[in-house]
Amino acid sequence: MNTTAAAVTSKYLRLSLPPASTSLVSLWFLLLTLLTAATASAQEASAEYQLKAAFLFKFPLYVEWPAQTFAASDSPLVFGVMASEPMFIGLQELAEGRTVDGHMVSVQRLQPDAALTSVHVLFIGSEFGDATPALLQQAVSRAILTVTEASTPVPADSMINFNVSEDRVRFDIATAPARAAGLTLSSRLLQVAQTVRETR
Amino acid sequence: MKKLRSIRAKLLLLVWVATFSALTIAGGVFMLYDVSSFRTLRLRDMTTQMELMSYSAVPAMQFVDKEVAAETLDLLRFRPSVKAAAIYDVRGRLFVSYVRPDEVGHAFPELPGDAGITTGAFGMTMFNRIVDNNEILGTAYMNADFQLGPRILQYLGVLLVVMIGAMGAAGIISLWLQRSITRPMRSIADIALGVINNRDYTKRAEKISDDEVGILVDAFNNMLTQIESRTRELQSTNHELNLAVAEHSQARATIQQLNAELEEKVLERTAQLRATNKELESFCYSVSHDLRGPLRAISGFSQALVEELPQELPGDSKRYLDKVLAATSRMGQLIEDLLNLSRVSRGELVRHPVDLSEMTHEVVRELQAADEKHQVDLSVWKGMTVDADPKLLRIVLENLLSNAWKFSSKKENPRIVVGQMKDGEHEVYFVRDNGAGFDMKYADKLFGAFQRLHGINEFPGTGIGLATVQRIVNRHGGRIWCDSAPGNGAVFYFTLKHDRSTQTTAAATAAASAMQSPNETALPTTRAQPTSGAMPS
Repeated sequence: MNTTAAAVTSKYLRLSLPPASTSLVSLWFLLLTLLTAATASAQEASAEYQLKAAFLFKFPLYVEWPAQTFAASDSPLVFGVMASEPMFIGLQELAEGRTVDGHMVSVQRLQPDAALTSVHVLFIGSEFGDATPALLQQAVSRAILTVTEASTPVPADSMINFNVSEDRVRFDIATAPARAAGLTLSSRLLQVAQTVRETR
Repeated sequence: MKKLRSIRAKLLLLVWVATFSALTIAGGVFMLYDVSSFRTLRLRDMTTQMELMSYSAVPAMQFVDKEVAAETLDLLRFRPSVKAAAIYDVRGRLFVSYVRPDEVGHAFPELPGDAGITTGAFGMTMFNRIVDNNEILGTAYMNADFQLGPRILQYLGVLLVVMIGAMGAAGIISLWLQRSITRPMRSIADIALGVINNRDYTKRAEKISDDEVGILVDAFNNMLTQIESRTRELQSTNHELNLAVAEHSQARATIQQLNAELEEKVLERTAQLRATNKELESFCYSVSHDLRGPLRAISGFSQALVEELPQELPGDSKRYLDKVLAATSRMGQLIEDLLNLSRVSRGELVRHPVDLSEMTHEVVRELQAADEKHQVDLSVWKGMTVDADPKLLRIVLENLLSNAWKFSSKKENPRIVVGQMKDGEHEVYFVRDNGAGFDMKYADKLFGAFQRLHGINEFPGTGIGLATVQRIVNRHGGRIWCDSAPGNGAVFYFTLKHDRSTQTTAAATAAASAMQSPNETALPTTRAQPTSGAMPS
């Protein structure tokens, strides 16, 4: 399967995007694919967490933070993760050397009592359950994108909540906490969400 | 439509053909251009559509949401030109697809192709990579037709409508405009037909326009005017000519009649003249002949008397007898001359080449023998040969030379020259002496019979010689004339052939002489031959 992907990828290298960016993109893609292929077999990360990590990694693309959040345009984007190992590892693998909108990505493991300084995305795994409303509240107040994987009821201050139905990873969005946090969620993200809850 | 022969129909056809050609070419070019630009527009449109679709598909791809992706593709149903579309995921598997409802069994590519556009005549295939945040998420595929067919049909429909409208308008306008061309032409044609059929030159074509047809009308009218005036002139000239011809023929008839009368009169007169001449001649001959008998008796008996009588006669008897003898001798000579004159006219003219120089010498020798005392300085040109009757020519020479001999006898150094000269084509012979000569006012009498310019005692002679000479010369077809002055000698010129120039100038003379038969001649007394006309000075 991985070799097929590599073959497909290598075919993609000849793609006809504008030439200047083509080589760069291809290189990135190649590196990424090879890395993924190399490490995937080594790690025992479940497919679910891989997917969730991938989703999580892409959320910042559709989120607009308040203007003063990043000191500079190339300030790192920090993921604070309070979750099981596979999720963490998956995210870390994805984030390795990558940028989102020009920001270097770093992944930090967070403890439940950790202070949410210089974190932009907060992920709380299902293991930590519903015991973190305070943390989420704090996150909202600090303009942090909060992502959870709680079963119902979803914590009030969770902006994006993963759910798995029919063996598919989906997510629901609540726009109220995001608005409260001063974040703007792209309508395109809302489009792919399973449900969008606008009020508390 | 009228027959093709009329200019109207031709013009209409011309306009139609021109309109049709122009519209067809313009329409064709416009259609090509329009189709081409429409195609380009479609292409750009589809490209935009593709970009939009790829952009819209990004979240669905990122979050692997087939429903959303399918919804995105489903929006293409508002783009009827899109036949089919699909999104392949990053691994090249068909993720979602869309097919236009009327498109059945569309074959999607197994794997996405290279990004780019493949265009055909009527459609295109497009692949586009779905990229976000420097990451390839998948490939969008779209197959669309340009829908050129309806466009072309629509265009052709419009063109057809425009063409029908334009042809109709062109036909109406040209029919209206044609009048300005065909009406004057028809007018010319009608008048031309009138001219041909009725020879009616009075009508004029109406000038309607100032163009070439107008010029034609002017030229035609001008031509008609000229033809009309020429015809009129010709007719009047013809009339005049006819009148003149009539007059002329009338005059001719009159002249002919007069001529005929004249001819008749002339014939009549000639006959009269001839009879009279004959009578006169025979009278003259018989008188002369009959006179000889008594004269011979007188002469003979007078001679006998002289011999019978003694030598010495009383009184003047002897002298009287001598006078009688002399008178009879002279009368005999006179009679002889008269008979000669008659004979000259009667005998037949037999021409031979004659040596005129030799004959002159013979005659002079005889003269010398008769008058031995007289010495004359004679000069005769050598080698003068003439074609004449020798007997008659001798008479001429005898007369002229004896005259010269006689009239020069009283000069101290008498001299006679006989020679030849050229007057135009004719040979002119002359006999010149340095004798007594005569006054030219008597020249017209000179050639009449019995005309003498000198007293009988001064120079003897009968006065018949020159008349005889002239008659002989005339019988030869020649002329004779003279030149002289009293005391300065005389020259007699003569020719022996027909002198045409004088014949024409002296037509009356020629006619008169021509009417005389060679055997018959007017009496020498009638008149002298005109001599002054061609007289050399």
